Amino acid sequence: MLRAYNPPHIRGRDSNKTIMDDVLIVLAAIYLMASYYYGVRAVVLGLFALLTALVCDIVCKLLLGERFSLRDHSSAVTALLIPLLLPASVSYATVATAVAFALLIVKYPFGGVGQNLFNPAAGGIAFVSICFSREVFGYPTPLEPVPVFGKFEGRLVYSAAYTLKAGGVPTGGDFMEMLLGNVAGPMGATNALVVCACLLYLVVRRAVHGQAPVCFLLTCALYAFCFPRVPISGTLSVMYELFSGYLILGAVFMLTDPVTSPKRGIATTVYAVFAGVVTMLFRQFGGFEESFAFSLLLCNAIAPMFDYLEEGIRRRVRRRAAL
Amino acid sequence: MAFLFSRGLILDQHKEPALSRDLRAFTSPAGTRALSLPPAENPAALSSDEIIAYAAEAQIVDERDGLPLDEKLRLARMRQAVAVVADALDDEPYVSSQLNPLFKLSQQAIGGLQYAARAVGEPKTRIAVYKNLSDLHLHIPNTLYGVRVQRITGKYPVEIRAKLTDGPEETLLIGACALIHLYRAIHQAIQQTTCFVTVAGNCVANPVNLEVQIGASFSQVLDRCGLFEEPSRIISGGPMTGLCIQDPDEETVQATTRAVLAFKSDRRDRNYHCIGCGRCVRVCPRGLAPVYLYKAAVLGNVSMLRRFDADQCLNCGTCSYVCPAKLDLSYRIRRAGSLIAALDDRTQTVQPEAAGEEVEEHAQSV
Repeated sequence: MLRAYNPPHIRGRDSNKTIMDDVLIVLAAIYLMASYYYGVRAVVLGLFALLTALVCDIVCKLLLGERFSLRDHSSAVTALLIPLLLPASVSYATVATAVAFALLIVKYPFGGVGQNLFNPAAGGIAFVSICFSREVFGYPTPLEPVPVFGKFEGRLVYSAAYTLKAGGVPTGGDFMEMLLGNVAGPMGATNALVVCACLLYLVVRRAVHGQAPVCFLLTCALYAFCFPRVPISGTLSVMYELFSGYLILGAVFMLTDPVTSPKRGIATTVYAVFAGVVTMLFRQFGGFEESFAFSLLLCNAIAPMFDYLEEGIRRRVRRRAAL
Repeated sequence: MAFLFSRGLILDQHKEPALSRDLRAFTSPAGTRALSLPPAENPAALSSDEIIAYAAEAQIVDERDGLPLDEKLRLARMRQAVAVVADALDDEPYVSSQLNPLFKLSQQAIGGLQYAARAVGEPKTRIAVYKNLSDLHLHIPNTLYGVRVQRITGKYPVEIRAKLTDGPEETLLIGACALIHLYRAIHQAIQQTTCFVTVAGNCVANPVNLEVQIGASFSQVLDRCGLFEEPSRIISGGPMTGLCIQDPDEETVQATTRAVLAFKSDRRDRNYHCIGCGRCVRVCPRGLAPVYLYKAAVLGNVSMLRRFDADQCLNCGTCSYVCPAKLDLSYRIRRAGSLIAALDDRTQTVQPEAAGEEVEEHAQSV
């Protein structure tokens, strides 16, 4: 007697694991770039976050009564993303706190993989932004040695995002340097060029859809061009807004999170535009210099609504066609 | 352009070598049954009623939808169909049991098509062949015995959608094999006792198209082509929509069996969860949202199933194919959809609680 399977009997090659692995591959590229600017500490921070995630995963799976599986790489993606959104000088305890908050509070209480309402990385970053804002928003200068372990004793500088928030005009606006990431900022987010290359890879591999990050960044750019926060030209404003903070990195890795974003095409576009407007409003009127994590959490909460709205329109079209 | 905008899948076809090989017979002369009618003396002069009488007498079943051919002809004549189309689409991978007989027995197929057209009232005729056949060794001509061969473009599923996209006018689609049987009924006065099946799969030593006696067991058919490995699943029908056979010695080939596929796959059960990637939504040919339908089906949420139009599912398997979590999307949605249809039929007697029990167990097999 043979075992019965349900059709279809052939399946596509991609699985959850291959999608997550694609993201892990591009995250590794960003870690390489970060280690070039900030030394070995960048990589060790990433490995430490990974270890924390592993412990959290095992604990949560035990509590949920599920079998722990090394095949599930979604927590690894969250863990590796969090240090990239923080400065290289950040303490190990802060990274551990962010990862633990992301997994223990934001992800698993909702049911684990695929069930979480909010993006775990955004949740973790938002938490440490509130709790340790001095540490999270003070950046070491790139290419200056940062000790692998222990506290960073050197000089911390503010990023362009802080200057904009304070109402000043940032200095050192060299476009090439900003593109290559040789400016103070979160350790993985300043290399705009590398991050864009990562997006290209992910889109080609179909791990993510390009429309969300592209629409989001275009909206942000348009907003920055039309309403500069400080008295500078529109073009300069676009450059500073896009390349400061972790806007591009967040758009590529957090906004595209499949679990928390809408599923339909038009809904995704509207969602991305909405997220762009909310992010820029938060930047202008919010309390923090980088508030993408907060605006993303807000958008996550209403993401299913966009799907339901589009479904309503499509249902009407479908039923009219059926008549 | 239509190809770009059509939703669905681009599948590797794997039709060769079965498609270009000769059609082999796996029948017994004893299985032939004569009609009570004599062979037509002057087939060119047969009237519409006489052709339908031959189809009814020969008990021809259209392999496309499992309906009796005479009923389809009568209905199309009543509705004044504008075209009769010989369906040789075979859009599912491995399956070529309409294409191969169409080209190997072209004269019979085209003859049958012309008889069918006359039965319906002499409308236009054409042959529909799937365009996106990538690995063909066979040249597909533009006309076959003067009948135009239309290459249908679009992504899988094409065959299920063909009847949905033919415009407001009535078009009659008849499977190519049923047309061959119609020709034989008229010229040789024999009943339909055989059917055409593709035998293929990664365990089959000699993939080929066979003309098989209806009632032959699956193991006989597979033995005829040889197995070089013990298959882990045997499928009756195409790999996207076909059903698994549990006992190949007991199960027999029917008139609607289009393929016998034997696969060895080492896939294991994986406890993946839906990550909401939305791939199923982007490929669904009906524009449904399988991700939400699946959730509703698992929860037994009838109102949500209705809201997301579960009854419009075509059961093409496209969503399950792309699902990276390897969930049984199409099967669960289809089951929930038929449940809704049942509920609509007798709303007074069935309570929604009973609906919840229907869709309870959550075993996923990959």
